Amino acid sequence: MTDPVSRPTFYEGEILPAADLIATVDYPRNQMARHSRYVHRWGIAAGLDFVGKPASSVGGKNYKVVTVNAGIAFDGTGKEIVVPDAVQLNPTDFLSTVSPDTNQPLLWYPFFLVGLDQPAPPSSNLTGACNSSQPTRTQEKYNIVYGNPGEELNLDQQQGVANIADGPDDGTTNPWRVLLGFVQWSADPTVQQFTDVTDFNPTTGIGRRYVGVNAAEVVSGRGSLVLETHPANFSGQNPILALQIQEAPNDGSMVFGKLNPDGSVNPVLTVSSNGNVTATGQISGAVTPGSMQVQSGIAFDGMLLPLPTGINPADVAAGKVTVHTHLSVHYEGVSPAGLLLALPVECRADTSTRRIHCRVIDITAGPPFVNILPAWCDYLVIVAVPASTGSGS
Amino acid sequence: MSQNPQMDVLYMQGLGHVLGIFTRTSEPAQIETDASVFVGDGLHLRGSPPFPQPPASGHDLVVPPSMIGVFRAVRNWRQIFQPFNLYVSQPPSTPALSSFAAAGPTLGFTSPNLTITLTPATAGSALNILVLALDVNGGNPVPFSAQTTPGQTSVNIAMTGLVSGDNYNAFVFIPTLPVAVQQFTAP
Repeated sequence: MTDPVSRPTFYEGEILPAADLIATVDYPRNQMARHSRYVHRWGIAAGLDFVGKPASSVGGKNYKVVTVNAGIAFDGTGKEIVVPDAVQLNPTDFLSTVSPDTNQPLLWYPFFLVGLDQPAPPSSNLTGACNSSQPTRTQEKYNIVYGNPGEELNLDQQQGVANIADGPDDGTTNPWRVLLGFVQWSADPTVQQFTDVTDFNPTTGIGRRYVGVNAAEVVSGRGSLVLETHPANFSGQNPILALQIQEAPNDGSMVFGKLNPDGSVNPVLTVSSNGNVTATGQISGAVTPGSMQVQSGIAFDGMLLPLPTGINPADVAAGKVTVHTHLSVHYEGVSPAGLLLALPVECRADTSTRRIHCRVIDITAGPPFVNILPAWCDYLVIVAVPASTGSGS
Repeated sequence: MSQNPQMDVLYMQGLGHVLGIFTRTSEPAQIETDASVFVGDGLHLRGSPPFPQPPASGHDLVVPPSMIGVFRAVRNWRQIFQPFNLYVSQPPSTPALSSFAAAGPTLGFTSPNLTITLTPATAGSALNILVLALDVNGGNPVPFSAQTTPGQTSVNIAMTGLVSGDNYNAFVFIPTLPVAVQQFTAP
């Protein structure tokens, strides 16, 4: 049975052993680790972004020097990992753990941040009884390690601490890996360098992971709650999006849109507290059962009759919806030289394939005097979606 | 009534020839990328110049959906009814509609070769050529392809592997040039 969590206490005249002093440090550290581990989600907390600076070798071959900036992350054991200064990725470290496939230069190799506790060198300034050659500090260091393509998968399956009461891991065996990004390796064996770096692997769809929160409730005390994809002052390629729930006298609303630099939300979707929904764009999705969907326009002989937006052609083919059509010849496009008269030959849509058959017979000054030509048609399509078996059910 | 000021263009992928244009009053937010939504198992072109009037009912040039691209353009009524005068440039990233500026190639047939002759002005760069051979008795078109070198004004394509003795129409697609048609008897 695991011992209960205990904190050190002291009494007057106590001879203070080193273990008690250590416990005064470990108690809040372990408590903080449990908080980080169970109240929050592991990942990058701040910084740790990177830059790939273009460079070229003596032979003129291009590569990139990748530098990770200072920052902080928390691993899955609750350990805080601090990178105090910018650090350059070392190609030698990469080659010590990865055998890159130079035939596939577009592979993305993940690189991770791991925490590592190491005893600091003993101080040489201590004398007498204090000069025991024992370290008096533990340095909370870090390492950047590399993986083969695909090792970014299943990072949530990493083994954390053994017991719920444990403090953070020291990183000496199987350290928890926090994904920082991906690098590409040169296909030229004479250039043993990185050629590119990214924060998202398009092959696996996995990118950097940031800290989160485990919470069943999020409560604001100011009458407004905002979720933002980045801080308002962030400068990136993508627009910052935000969702704001805002109280108002006798009203209130939920607003979604781009976040303005001043922190306000540019609304594109608003749901008011009385249920009114306002969208500045188009609303699409599954078709509502019991509804009628309409499409119209101009189509031509030989193509399929266009369906209303949102109607699945498979539902039409399967007879799950009822299709009403009306077609009439659009004579504007029938214009052979010397046209005297044009009459419809056929103008219909095949009931099983929806293919349009629209042709006219035209009489011209000729020769030839009579032609049968494909033509355009005005069409109207109404699709009735049954209330019980529609595609939107 | 509000009209959507857009139109949807079906064109030959990699070559650019417009095969048809239609409109929809209600356009989806994202245009469909699979042409089979609009053409099913193939787009049936019959009797509209330059496609010859079929000698028999049911004789269509059927272009399979895999060869057809789709994009959306600003509606232009004149273009809707003149699709075969147009080609799509720079598909599919920033497609734009243009009218053919030069005449199509001159065709001739001396068994077993279909001879395609270009003017020096149109033969300045390397060109991909697609020929669809369609039996006038029907069936699926048989594709032939060739590539010219810059400055090459004449190309021979052996029309072999067809039903010997049958009459065929050869539809010749060359980027930025109008479609040309040549009837021949298969060797």
